[in-house]
Amino acid sequence: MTDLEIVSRLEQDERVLLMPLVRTTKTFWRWAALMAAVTVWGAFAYAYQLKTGLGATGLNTPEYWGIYIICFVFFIGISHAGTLISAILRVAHAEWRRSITRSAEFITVLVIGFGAVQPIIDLGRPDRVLNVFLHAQPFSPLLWDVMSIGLYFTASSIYLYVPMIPDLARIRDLGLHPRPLYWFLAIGYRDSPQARHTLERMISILAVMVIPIAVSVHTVIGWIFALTLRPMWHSAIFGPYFVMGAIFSGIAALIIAMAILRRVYRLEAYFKDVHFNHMGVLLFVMTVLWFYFTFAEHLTVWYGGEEAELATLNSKLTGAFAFPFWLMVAFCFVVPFALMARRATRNVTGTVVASVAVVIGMWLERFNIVVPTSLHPRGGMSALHYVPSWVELSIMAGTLSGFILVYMVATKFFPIISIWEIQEGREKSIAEVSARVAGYLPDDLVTVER
Amino acid sequence: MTVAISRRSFLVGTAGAGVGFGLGALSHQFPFAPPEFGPDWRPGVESFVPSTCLLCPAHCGIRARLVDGAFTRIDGNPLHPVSQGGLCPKGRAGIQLAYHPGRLKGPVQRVGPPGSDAFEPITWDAALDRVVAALRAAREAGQAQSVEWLVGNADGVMGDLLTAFCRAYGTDRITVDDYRDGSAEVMRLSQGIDAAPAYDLQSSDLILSFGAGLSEAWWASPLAARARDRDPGRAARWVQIDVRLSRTAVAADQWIPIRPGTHGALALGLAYLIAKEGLYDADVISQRVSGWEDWTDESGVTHAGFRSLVLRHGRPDDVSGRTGVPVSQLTALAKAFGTARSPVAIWDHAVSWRRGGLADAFAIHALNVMRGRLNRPGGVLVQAPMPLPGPLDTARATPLDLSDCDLTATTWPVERAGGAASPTTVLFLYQSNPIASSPKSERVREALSRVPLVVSFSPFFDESARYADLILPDHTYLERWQDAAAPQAVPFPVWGIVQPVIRPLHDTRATGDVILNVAARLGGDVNAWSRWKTVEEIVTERGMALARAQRGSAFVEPFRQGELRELESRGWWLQHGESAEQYWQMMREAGGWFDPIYDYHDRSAVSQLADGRVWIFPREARDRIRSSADGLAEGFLPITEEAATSPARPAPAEFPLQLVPFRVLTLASGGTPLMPWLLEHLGVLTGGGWETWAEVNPETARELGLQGGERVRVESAQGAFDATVRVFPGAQPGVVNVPYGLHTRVEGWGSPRGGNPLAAIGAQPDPATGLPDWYSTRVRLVRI
Amino acid sequence: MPRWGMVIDLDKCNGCQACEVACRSENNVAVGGPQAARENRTISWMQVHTEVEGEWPAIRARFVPQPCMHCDRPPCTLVCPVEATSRDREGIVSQIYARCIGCRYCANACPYTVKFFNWYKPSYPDSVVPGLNPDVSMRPVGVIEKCTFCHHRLQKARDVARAEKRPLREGEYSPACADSCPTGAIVFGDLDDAGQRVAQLARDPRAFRLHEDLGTQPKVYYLAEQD
Ligand SMILES: Nc1nc2c(c(=O)[nH]1)N[C@H]1C(S)=C(S)[C@@H](COP(=O)(O)OP(=O)(O)OC[C@H]3O[C@@H](n4cnc5c(=O)[nH]c(N)nc54)[C@H](O)[C@@H]3O)O[C@H]1N2
Ligand SMILES: Nc1nc2c(c(=O)[nH]1)N[C@H]1C(S)=C(S)[C@@H](COP(=O)(O)OP(=O)(O)OC[C@H]3O[C@@H](n4cnc5c(=O)[nH]c(N)nc54)[C@H](O)[C@@H]3O)O[C@H]1N2
Ligand code: SF4
Ligand code: SF4
Ligand code: SF4
Ligand code: SF4
Ligand code: SF4
Ligand SMILES: [Mo]
Repeated sequence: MTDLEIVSRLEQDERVLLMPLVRTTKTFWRWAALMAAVTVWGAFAYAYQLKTGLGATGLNTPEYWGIYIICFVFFIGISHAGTLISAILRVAHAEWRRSITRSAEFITVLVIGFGAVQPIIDLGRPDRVLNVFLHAQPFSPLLWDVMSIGLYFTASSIYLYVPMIPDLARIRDLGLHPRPLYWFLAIGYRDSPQARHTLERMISILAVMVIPIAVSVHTVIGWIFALTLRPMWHSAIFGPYFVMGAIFSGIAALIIAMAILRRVYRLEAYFKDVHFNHMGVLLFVMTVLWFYFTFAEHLTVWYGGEEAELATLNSKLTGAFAFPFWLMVAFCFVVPFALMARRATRNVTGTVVASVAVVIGMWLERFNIVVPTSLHPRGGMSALHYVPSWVELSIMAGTLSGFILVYMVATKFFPIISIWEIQEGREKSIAEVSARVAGYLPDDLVTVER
Repeated sequence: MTVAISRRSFLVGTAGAGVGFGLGALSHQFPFAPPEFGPDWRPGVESFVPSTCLLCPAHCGIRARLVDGAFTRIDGNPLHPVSQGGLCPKGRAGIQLAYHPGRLKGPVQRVGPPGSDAFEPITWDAALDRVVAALRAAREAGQAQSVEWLVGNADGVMGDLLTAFCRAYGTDRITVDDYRDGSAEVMRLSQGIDAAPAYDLQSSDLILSFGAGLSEAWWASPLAARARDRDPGRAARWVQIDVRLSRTAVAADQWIPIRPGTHGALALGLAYLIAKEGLYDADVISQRVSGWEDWTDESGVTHAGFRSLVLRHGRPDDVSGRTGVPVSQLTALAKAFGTARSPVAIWDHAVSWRRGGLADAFAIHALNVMRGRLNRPGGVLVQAPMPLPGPLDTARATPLDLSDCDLTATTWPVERAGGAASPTTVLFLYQSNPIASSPKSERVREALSRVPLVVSFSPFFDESARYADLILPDHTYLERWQDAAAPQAVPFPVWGIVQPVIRPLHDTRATGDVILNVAARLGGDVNAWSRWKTVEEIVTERGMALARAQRGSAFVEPFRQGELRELESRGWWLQHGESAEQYWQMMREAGGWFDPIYDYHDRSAVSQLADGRVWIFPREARDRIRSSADGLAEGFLPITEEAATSPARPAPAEFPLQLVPFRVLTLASGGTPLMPWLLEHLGVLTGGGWETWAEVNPETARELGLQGGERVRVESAQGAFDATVRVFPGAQPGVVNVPYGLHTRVEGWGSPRGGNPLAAIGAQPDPATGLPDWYSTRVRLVRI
Repeated sequence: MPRWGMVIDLDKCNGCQACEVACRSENNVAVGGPQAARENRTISWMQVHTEVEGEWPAIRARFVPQPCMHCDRPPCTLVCPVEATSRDREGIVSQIYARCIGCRYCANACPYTVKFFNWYKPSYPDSVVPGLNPDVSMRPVGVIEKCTFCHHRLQKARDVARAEKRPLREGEYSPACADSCPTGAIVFGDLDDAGQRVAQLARDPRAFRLHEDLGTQPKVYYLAEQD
C-alpha cells in the first residue's frame, strides 16, 4: 500500500493535513526549482565576494554597513513571528491559535539561520569568524547578539519540535516514508493520557520561557546601533522599537505564509476568515504601535535640534532619502491602517495586501535606519551615495529564496498544521471554553444564603 | 523521557547554529592573503644620506633613509638653512620616481613610427655611436646650428655643462626653462639689477601677496612655510590678493578676492591713497628715486611722473569698480601697507603671465619703492653671488651667448624671424616633455616627427620620449651627482649638493656624464674645454672652490645659524676643519654650503644703474608695454582706457567664463611623471583625486544648470579639454578654476582622468616679456 | 607613565598635505588608485579637511588635519567583538590586523571617521616593494586600519633609550607627520609631562578638541587661528 493510499483512507483532519506529505504537484517542483536556482546564484555571488573582498559591494567610507546588515535586522525580525506569537497565543489560551502555531514556529526556526549568516557575509574576514569566541570581548554588543541569537534559535527549535512529537509518532505508526526519519524523530513516543500531560506541561513551560528570550534578541540588535554615538542611532527607544518592529513584520510574514498554504494545500477549512480577521486585528494594533514609536523617535530628534542629528533627520524628511522614508510611512502605516481598521477589509485579500505592504515597509525602515546615518557622520564629510552592487542584491535574493525553499521542503515532511491539537480542539475545547466562561459568571447567591 | 526529548533536539539546535559559523569557516579555503611580513619585524640598521630635492626650483634639503642599505624614505634635511627639515608632499613622494614601475631599464631605440610604443633595447656604446656620428656629420656639413637642445630645467652644473658643450660644438639653439616670472625683468629695468628679488619673509610685518602662490607653486614655498612657523607674538600679517580661494588664500591671515587681471589696478589704487596720505618714504624718493615727479628727457619731451599718473588714474572708486574690491577694504589695505614697519609687496607669474602683465608688475613693484623697502630688512633684497668658479669653458675666446628668452616646453617650436636658422637635424630633450607641456601639442608632435634624430634623456617613457629615435635614460635625481642653488627669492646664497642616495636601480647613465663622454668622443675643440670624466668631479671641484673661499659654512643646526650670522656680521669667520678637503667633507655630510650674512648697506643691492637711482616705470618699460598691449591707459598703465567695469559686467555671449588655471602644490610641472601618492591627495580644498576638475561657483553652476560631479568639456577659441565639475564657493562667479598637470600618463601605475588646460590656452607669448599669456583665456562649459 | 598626544596649530597649518604623504610613506599605506577614489575607498590615515563657510566674496576657510584622535575614552574599542583594537596603557589606540574580523563596527562607532577598511587586497607594484618601510607590517584585505601614532617609532626610540640606559627624552619619539610638517604646526609628546611643549600648548587658551561634547576625550588638540 503506497503512502498516498494510506493517507487517502484516513478521515478528514489527518487526510487533509497529511496529504502534502504524500502528494507533490508539478507547480511545487517548478517553484522549488526556481527558488533553488536563485539560491545557487546568491551562493555564487558570495563566492565572488570572497574572491574580490568587500570591494565587490557598493559600500565605502563612511557607508560601512549596507544591504547585509539591513537584511540581518530584517530577517531576524521576520523570525519573531512564529515562536513569539504562538507562545503568546498559547499562554493566553487563545483557542483560534491551534491551526496557526506550527506554521508560525516553522517560520522562526527556518528564517533565523538565514538572518544569522548575514553579518558573517558582511565580514571582511569570514575566515576569522571564530575569533568571536577565541578572543571574545564581553563589552561588544555584537557578542551579546551572537549569544542571544544562538539561544533563541535553540529554544525555538525545541519549542517547534516538542509540540510536533505526537504528530510525528502518528506518522511513524501510519508507516509513512521515510520511515527511519519519523522513527528517529518520534523518539519512541507512545500516546497516553499521562504522556500527553507531561507534553503539555513542557509546552506551557517552554512557551513562557521563549518569550523573554525572543524579546532579548531584537533588543540587542537595536542596541548594536543605539550604543554608538552616531546621530539617530544613539537612542534609548531603539530596544523596544526594534522588538515591536520585529513582531510587526513577523505577523505580516505569518499572514502571507498562511494565505499561501491555504491556497496551495487547500486548507480553507483550517485557515478560516476568522483567523485572518484575528491576525488582522493584531496587525492593526502593531500598525498603531509602529506609528507611535516612529513618531516619538523622530519628534525627539527634531525637537532636540542637535546639528548632527538634524542633518540626518532632514535627509530623511526632505533630503536624499525622502523617497524611501515616505514610502516606508505609506507601507508601514497608511496602507495597513486603512485596510485593517475596517472589518470588511480584514478578509484574506485585505490582510494579505496589508501584510505585503508591511513586509516591504519594514525592510525600508531598516534601510532608513542604517544608510542615512552612515552617510551623515559628525563633522560632515563630502556628501556621498550608496548604490548596492549586483553582488549584494543577488545575495539578498538568494537569502529570501533560500528561506522559501526550505519552508516549502519542510511542508513536505511535517504537517504544517498541528493535527493532534486540532483534534484535541474538536474533542475538548468546547467543554473547556464553556467551563472557563462559566468560571467568569457570578456565583449563585441562593446557595450562599442557605 | 522529558530529558531524552530535550537533549536530542538540543543537538539538532546547536548543529543548526553551527551551520552559520561553518559557512564562514569554509571560506578559509578561499584565497585570502596573510599579512606580508607579520608583527615579528626586526629593527634594521638605519643610515641617512643628505641630498637636494630637484622637483621644483625651491631645492629643499632632503635626507634619504636607508634600512640595511634599502632606500625606504625621503625626510627633510633638518640642517638645510631654508627648508629646515620641512618638505612639501612632492619632496617626500620623490621616492616614487626612483621606484616607479614606468622607468626605462636601459637605453632603447625606436623601431616603429614616431609616437609608437615600438622600441627595442640597444647597448650604450651603440647608442652613443649613433649620437656621435650624427653630431659629427652635422658639424662637418657646417650645420652645427642645426643641432638643438630643449631643456626643461638644468640646475647648477648641468646648466654650465650644456652651455659649455653647445658653445664648443657651435650651436646656440638651446632653450632653458628658468621658471621666469618677469620679476628679474622688472629689477633690471628699474634698478639695473639682473636678478629676481629676494625676500626675508620672517622679518616682514606685512606680506602683501599679489596672487603669488606662496604656499603652492611659488619659487621658494619653504620660505613662506617657515614664515608661518613663528610664535604667535610677532605674527607677520599675511594678506593674499587672489582671484580664487587658493590654498595660499586659506593659509593667509586675510584673503582679498579680486577680479582676474586687475592686480595692477589694485596696486595703482593703493599707490594713490599712499601718495594722498603722504605715507610714502619722502626722503628715499627724493634722494634715490627717478620717475616719481614729471620729468623732461634730453629731447625736451616731458613725461608724466608716477605721482601724477597715480593721482590721475588711481581713484579708489574707479579702482574698486575695476577690481571688485570695496573702497573700504582698499583704504584699510593702503593704510596698513603705508604704516607697517616692514611691509613687502610680492608678485609672480600670476601677474606677469598675461598680455600686458609687465604693467601690473611695475605698478606692484612701485609700492615697494614708495615705501623705501629696497634692501631693507623684510623688504626687497638681492641674493649675494656665490664664490663659485665661472663657466666651465672660460678658456674660450669668443663665447657664443645663448638664446634663453624662450621657455622651453611652452614655446617650442620657436618660429625664428625669416627662418634664419637651418632646420633641426638633431634634437636633444633634457628634462623636457614638450608634447605634454606645450599649449600646441599637435604642432610639437609633427615638428618632432620631422627631425631626423631625436634623442631623449628621460628616465621615463613619457609622451615626447615616444617620438624620440633614441632614449638614453638619465638617472633620477636620487641616483646621480649634481648641485642646485636656492632660488633667487632666498636672501642669502645656498648651495645644495645632489649626490646619489642609492646605486642606480637600472642600466641608466647620468646625462651629464653622457655629455662629457660624447664631447670626448667628438674630440678636438669640441672637447678642448673639458678636463672631467664625470659630473661628480665637477661638483667636487665646485665644493672645493667654496671651501677655499674663506666664507660661509657647511649646513648647521638652526640655532648655530644665528651665531654664524652674528660672527660674520662682525667680520669673523671660523675655520671649518683643518683643510679645504675636510671642509668639503663636512659639506657633503651636511648636504651643502651656505652663507647667511646679508649686507643691508650694499648700495649695489638697491640700484646698479649708472646714476645709482631707482626708476618707477622707467621709459624702456613704458615703451615695451606700449608695444605689447593696447587699450591701456596712457599706453602703459595696468588699467584699460575705457571706464571702470561695473561688477555686473555683461559677459561675452560665446565664451562667458574666464579660465583660471593653477598649479596644485602636489603636482609637478607639465609632464613630470605623476606620483600616485600625490594623486591620492589632490585638491585639499575640493577633495577627490585622480582627475582634472573645474571649480565653479554655486551661483554660476546654478545659472549653467551644472551639478557637482558632472563631466564637462571646457572650450575656448583655441581648443578644449575635459574636466569634472566641483561646485566650490571659493570659485569666483563667472570664473572656472582648473588645475594643471594631470593630463600626463603614468606608465604602469594607475592613470588619472586628466585634461590639459593648456589645450584651451592661447600659445602666443607676450611680446614685451616673452612670457606665456596664460591668464586671459575665456571659455564655456559644455556638458558631456 | 606617559600619555602620548598631539597638538596641531591651525594658525600655522597651510594645508600643504605633507603630513598625509609622509604618513603614507611611513606606514606603507597602499595606493587605492582612480577607481578607489571614485568609490570613496581611498585610505589616508591623516586627512587635511578644509572647512569653508560663507559665500563669495565673504568666505572664511581653514585647514583641519585629522589623524586618529587616540581618544582616552574611545568608543571604537568598546564595540570591537574580538578586541582587535584597544587603548594601551600609554593611551595609544592600536589595531591588531591579524585578529580583526572586518565587521567595521569600530568604524561606525568612531565619531571622527578616521578608520579605513581594506575593501580590496592592498597591492604594490613589484618595483616599489624594496622601498616599503620594514618597520610597519602590511595589511591584508578585509581588515580595518588607522593612524597608530607611528607606534613602531616609540618601540624604536625605547630600544635606543634602553640600550643607553636612560629614560626617553622629549622629541625622541615623534611621528612621521609631525616630523614632516614644513610649518611646524604639529607638536607631539607626553601630555602629562608639564615640561614638554605639547603639554603646555594643550593648556593654551587657544586649545580645543573636536566634538569635545561627546566625552571621547581625544588626545589630539587643536590651536584655533588668531587674527
Ligand atoms: N608644486 C609645484 N611647484 C612648482 C611647479 C610645479 O609644477 N609644481 N613648477 C615650477 C615652475 S616651472 C614654475 S614656472 C612656477 C610657476 O609658479 P606659479 O606661477 O606660482 O604657478 P601657478 O599655479 O601656475 O600660478 C598661477 C596662479 O595665478 C593665479 N591666476 C590664474 N589666473 C589668473 C589671472 O587671470 N590673474 C591673476 N592675477 N592670477 C591668476 C592662479 O590662481 C594661480 O594661483 O612654479 C614652480 N613651482
Ligand atoms: N599642462 C601644463 N603644461 C605646462 C605647465 C603646467 O603646469 N601644466 N607648466 C609650464 C611650465 S612653467 C614649465 S617650466 C614647463 C615644464 O615642462 P617641461 O619643461 O616639459 O618639464 P616637465 O614637464 O616638468 O618634465 C619633463 C620631463 O622630464 C623628465 N624627467 C623627469 N625627471 C628627470 C630626470 O631626472 N632627468 C631627465 N633627464 N629627465 C627627467 C620626465 O620624463 C618629464 O616628462 O611646462 C609648461 N607647460
Ligand atoms: S618645495 Fe620643491 S624642492 Fe622643496 S620639497 Fe617640494 S618639490 Fe622639492
Ligand atoms: S604638513 Fe603641516 S602644514 Fe602641511 S598640512 Fe600637514 S599640518 Fe598643515
Ligand atoms: S578617533 Fe575614532 S578611532 Fe581614534 S580612538 Fe577615537 S574613536 Fe577610536
Ligand atoms: S572591524 Fe576589526 S577592529 Fe573593528 S570592530 Fe570589527 S573586528 Fe574590531
Ligand atoms: S601619527 Fe603617524 S600614523 Fe598617525 S597620522 Fe601621523 S604619521 Fe600617520
Ligand atoms: Mo616653469
